[in-house]
Amino acid sequence: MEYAIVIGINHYEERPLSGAVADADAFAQFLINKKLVSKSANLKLLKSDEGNSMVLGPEIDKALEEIVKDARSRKTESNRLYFYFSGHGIGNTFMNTALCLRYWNSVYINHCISSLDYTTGMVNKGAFDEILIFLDCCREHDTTIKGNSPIGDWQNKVGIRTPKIFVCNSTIYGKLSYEIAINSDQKRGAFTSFLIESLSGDADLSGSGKVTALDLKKHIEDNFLSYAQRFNKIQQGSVFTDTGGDSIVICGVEKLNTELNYEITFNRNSNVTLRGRDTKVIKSGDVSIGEKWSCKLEQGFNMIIDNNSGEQKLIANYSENTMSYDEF
Amino acid sequence: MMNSENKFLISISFNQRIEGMHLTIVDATFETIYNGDSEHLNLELFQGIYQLKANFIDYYQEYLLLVDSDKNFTFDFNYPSVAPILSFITTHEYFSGNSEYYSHKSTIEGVTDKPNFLVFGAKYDKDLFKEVLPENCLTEYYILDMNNELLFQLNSQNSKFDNDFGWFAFSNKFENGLYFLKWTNNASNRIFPFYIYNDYQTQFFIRYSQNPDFDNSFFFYSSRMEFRQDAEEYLVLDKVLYAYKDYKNYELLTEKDRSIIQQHPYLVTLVLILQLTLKIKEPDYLNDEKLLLPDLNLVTQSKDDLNTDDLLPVISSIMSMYAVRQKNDTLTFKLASLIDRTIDHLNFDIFWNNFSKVDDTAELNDIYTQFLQKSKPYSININDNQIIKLSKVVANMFGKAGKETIRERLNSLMGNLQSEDFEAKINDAIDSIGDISQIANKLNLPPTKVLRNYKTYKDIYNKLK
Repeated sequence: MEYAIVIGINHYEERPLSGAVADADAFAQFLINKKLVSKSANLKLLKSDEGNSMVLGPEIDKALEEIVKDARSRKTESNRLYFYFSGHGIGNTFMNTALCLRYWNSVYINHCISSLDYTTGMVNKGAFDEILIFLDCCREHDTTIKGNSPIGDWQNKVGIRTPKIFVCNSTIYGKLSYEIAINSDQKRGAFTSFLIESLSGDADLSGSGKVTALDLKKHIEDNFLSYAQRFNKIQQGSVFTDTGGDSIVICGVEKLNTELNYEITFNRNSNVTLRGRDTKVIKSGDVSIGEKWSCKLEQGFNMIIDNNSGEQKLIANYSENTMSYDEF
Repeated sequence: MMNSENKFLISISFNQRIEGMHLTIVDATFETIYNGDSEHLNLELFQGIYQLKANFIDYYQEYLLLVDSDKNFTFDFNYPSVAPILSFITTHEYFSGNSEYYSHKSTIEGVTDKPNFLVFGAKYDKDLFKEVLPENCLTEYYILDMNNELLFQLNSQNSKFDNDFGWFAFSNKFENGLYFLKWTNNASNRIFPFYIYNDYQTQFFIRYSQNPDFDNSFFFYSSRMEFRQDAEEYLVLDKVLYAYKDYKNYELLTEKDRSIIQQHPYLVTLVLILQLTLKIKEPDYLNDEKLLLPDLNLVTQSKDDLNTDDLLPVISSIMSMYAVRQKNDTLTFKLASLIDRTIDHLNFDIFWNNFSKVDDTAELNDIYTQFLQKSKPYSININDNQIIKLSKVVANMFGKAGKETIRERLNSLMGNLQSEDFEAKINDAIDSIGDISQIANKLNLPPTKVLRNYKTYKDIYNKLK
């Protein structure tokens, strides 16, 4: 059985975020749409809102305990848990990030949970065979901030299941995570946007029809930096696996049922040429602002050139089996 | 080697020599075909589209390679430092020449002495960010003396600029001492303390995209009294700062870098501060000429130097003080540094995790004043690490200061020259805090913890009374 705890917090009193709740929504939606969590009751979506006081901490523990109770009853099934967090974070150590909860501010500096203690707690529940953790938050150094441990017993191992662990951090230790503008009025976490595109098929570089943890790890390590560069950000993800986490098959990749797999929207009036990875011309012509070109691109680097200004842009199509979008 | 039909000879180089650059070339199928340290590459590549990734310490840039004939690719590495970009041919040809020129000549009419202070700002790309006009950027900068008296607001009369080429410069001769460079734009302020020393030129460089890139701005104290196009010490400064972020990066310094450090007392000082702070047993450059930055005096706890009048509390040290929760607590993080004072006092990098800059300087005034006034003198234990020791030294020293001294120093530190009620704020803050120590004693808590959570503990205290 599959379970998920998905957390998004925008509404910090100081330094509110814009895209964390939308990220959590999108990730939750992705899990449901892809049937990675088959029972909607097994997905605990905790997100802040102007009018609520989510997420303060105990809801996370409560959600976990409910999940554990159900998972333990499924003795013969393989149980997978997704834990996703989007919000502020602080890098306590290389392995431990303090995930800032709703009241975190310059006064309540310790209103955070410890990612390491919670991971340990999830492992020690003995209810899961696979634990996949996705943290989209900053990890700048500060060891003075103390993330809280789970409120229940988390240190004592119960049961015999030793889960495979996959931990995906949006940024390397000591660095920031960024939000990016995906359109004129909406911001999203750069990492979550990339993550969802990756799991949708971009990380399946070999075209095997599935995304394994190893695929995702390689894709993040090789290509997330470039993705962030498109938005003028320098951000590099970091992935950690343990007890065989590399071998987790995260999801299957559905075959794209349209002929075309890439859409380029133009933000200029000019004459442009699209070249394939062998440099041969795929399409050339005049374009105007707002015009879109839909095309079929091979997997790999393609490029588009403005024939008037000489400006060039690399078009990275990670998978022929996903619909991708770009601007030029 | 002869060209095959499908292969082309490709040469990749950069307009600036940056030793230690890491290059990766990825082909059109996402296969990495080159990965290594190099500033120049000669390769044979099949026709196709490639991606070049260039890494140097914290900086990263990507380039597109369209290989359809034999080609020489020459790129600019968009590196914020100044000297290594001397040969930027595409967008920065104006930069180093003007920097060099105005490091020799004052921008103020009638001043014939060689300047000992240079501010140089320039856009990363003169053809981009059209809305950024150097002429308008100028007036956002102020130079204040240590008493917070306004000496100059940069403007089109006392500075030089070129809106088309995207640069501005200010240079002048100042007396020795402490000064502040203040930047103000609407509600945003940044204040940079700097020193003028005998026979050193203090240089401040800032680059602009849409906004000033303060994170990559920097000071340099040059004993050569000039900026030189071929100088390599600025690149080494960046490597030293990188080592401040994580000491293991110190290993990235090459033999050549080390010899450059040796020739520059400012760099020697920075390395020494870092190593002393980290309790490195045998610090390098102990016998080389140093620049007497007050921070170094604090670290070494040289009593003679501690009493200098213009010694300024180190904000980052003060901040780290708050982290000392219990006597035996060891502060395990590597304080990224005393250098913060040189870079930017008002950047809460260390304590507030660099989420943003200080929004409300009045709040900082309050915290700071309370801290200075009410922290008990701290005993310095042999087991304290250097940062804690340093924090205690600063705290104890300034904790004893009189109201006037604190007011002056706060005034300087905050740079709230234009704040109408600044005096009242300081007085209120000083006068209104009277019970931190009592609360701390009563609740058996460190005063710093009470300070940080004053309202909470005050309420508890009131209920206990």
